[in-house]
Amino acid sequence: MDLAEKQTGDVNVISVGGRLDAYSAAEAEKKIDSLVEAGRVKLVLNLNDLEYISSSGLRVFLAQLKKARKQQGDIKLCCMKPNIREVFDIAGFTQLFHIAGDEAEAVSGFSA
Amino acid sequence: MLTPKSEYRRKLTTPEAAVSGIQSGNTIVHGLAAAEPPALLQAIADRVRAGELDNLKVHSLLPTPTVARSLLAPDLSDCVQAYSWFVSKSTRSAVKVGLNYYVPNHFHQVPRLMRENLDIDVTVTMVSPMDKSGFFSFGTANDYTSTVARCCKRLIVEVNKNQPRVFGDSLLHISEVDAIVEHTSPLIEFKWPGPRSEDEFIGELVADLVPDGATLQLGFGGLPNVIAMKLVKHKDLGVHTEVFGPAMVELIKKGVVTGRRKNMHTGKHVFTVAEGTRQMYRFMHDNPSMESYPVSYTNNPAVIASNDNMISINSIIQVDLLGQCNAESLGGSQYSGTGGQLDYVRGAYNSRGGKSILAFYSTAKNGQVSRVVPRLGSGAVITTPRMDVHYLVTEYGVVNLKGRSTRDRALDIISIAHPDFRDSLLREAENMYLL
Repeated sequence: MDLAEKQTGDVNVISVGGRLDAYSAAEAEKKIDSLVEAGRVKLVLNLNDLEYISSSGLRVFLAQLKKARKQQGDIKLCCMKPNIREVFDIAGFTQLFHIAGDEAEAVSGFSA
Repeated sequence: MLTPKSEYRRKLTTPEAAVSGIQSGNTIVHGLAAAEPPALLQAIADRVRAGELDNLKVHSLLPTPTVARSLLAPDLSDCVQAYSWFVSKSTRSAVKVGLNYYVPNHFHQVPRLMRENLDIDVTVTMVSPMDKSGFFSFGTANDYTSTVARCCKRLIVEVNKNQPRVFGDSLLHISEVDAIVEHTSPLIEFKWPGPRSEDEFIGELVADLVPDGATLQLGFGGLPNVIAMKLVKHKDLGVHTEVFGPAMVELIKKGVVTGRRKNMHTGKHVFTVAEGTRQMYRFMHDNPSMESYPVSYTNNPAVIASNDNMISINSIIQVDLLGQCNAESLGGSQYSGTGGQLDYVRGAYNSRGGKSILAFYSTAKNGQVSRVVPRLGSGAVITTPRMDVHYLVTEYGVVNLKGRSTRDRALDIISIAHPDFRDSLLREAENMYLL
């Protein structure tokens, strides 16, 4: 799994690539959690290069979403490939997250 | 000394207070299907949603929307490890993506597996109102519920006046209960799609296999219900079944099912779980002919086989040319479960005069796909092994595989496939050196 981070205004964008599974979920959790703990709770996860997500990955996203929202923040997702979108649909997670088509839309969602 | 009434009043509380002792990491088992207790499940879900509970292990069997919308809702899936002992429509998607784990089992073993393998902290279930002697009834769900009610650290019951009071070994005394909540709501109802054109033929073929005086087990779903309707001219049938359903009520009301010729539980309709309509639940209530027992009894193959002329009728998804039947997986994913199919297949097979019948439509997807396949595909699960298969029925006929060779059974099975697929199946059988 690859993680890359950048900042756009007060929004942190994390690009998640490769496989987010039982082996890599802890690393992703640590990364997102460190931002949320630091009060950086406006987060966009760019999933353009994400090839696979398991239930472990889904659980990390959900737990961090709750944590961010508790601090009046949010985690918005963008650039999902169809196979990733399908997993979110099946899991019932598309109703839990704000999912944008591209990164700019996701980032601008925080100023709406 | 406490009277049942005073003990009831002492244990009566609110759903919120009843679940307040649940702690993070606890293992919770809830009553099956119509006995899922909505108020208690919602109260636990509210605590999870409020961030008070984490890492709960929740065990269900055939979860309905009641639990799927409360404790097993998607937004709680980071805090709840969910286990399904039989997968239902409500949680099939979650199972498919690994947010809910299927537990393979034979239904008759579930009470023992839960008692021996789970350290159950809390059992929550719905029961009928207490009688003057201090007894509740497990009503629609005896199955494993009566066992886990007695091997957990804390038992909380939700009293619902719509839960039928039934007899048999279905009683629970007030002294066994830790907390009581009262909540009146309609029981969840189970309805199936209307009959298909093939059902007419399959129903008649199966009905011809059932002798007067037989004891019946009917599976769960649309086809078994249609089959029951084809039995209206039979005499003195009996019921020893896993799931009691609305079709059986019709046969009882018509005088077709009397139980008079049963050699066990004569005159009684024996079941372990009931899934049907409001009218059916009313029929069951305080009806002395309705006897429920733990699934470790009703589905024990030896007990089933002790019923003479035991006829079990179940459905499958597909069968291969070896006679291996898949009744639980679809497209490589867990679709339902083994349930009690093999319990009854084996019991009926060994019953004196008994027959195990597996009925299915010859095709799927509007006739485009044959349900008779050369070999079960990758990811398909064998629910009933070839050694156990007795009668197979489609809209094209009946075959009896008991004691048949690999060659004979391949030809038999092909004979009840859809005609459009028989030539290709024959070629495959030759390629497999079965012919």
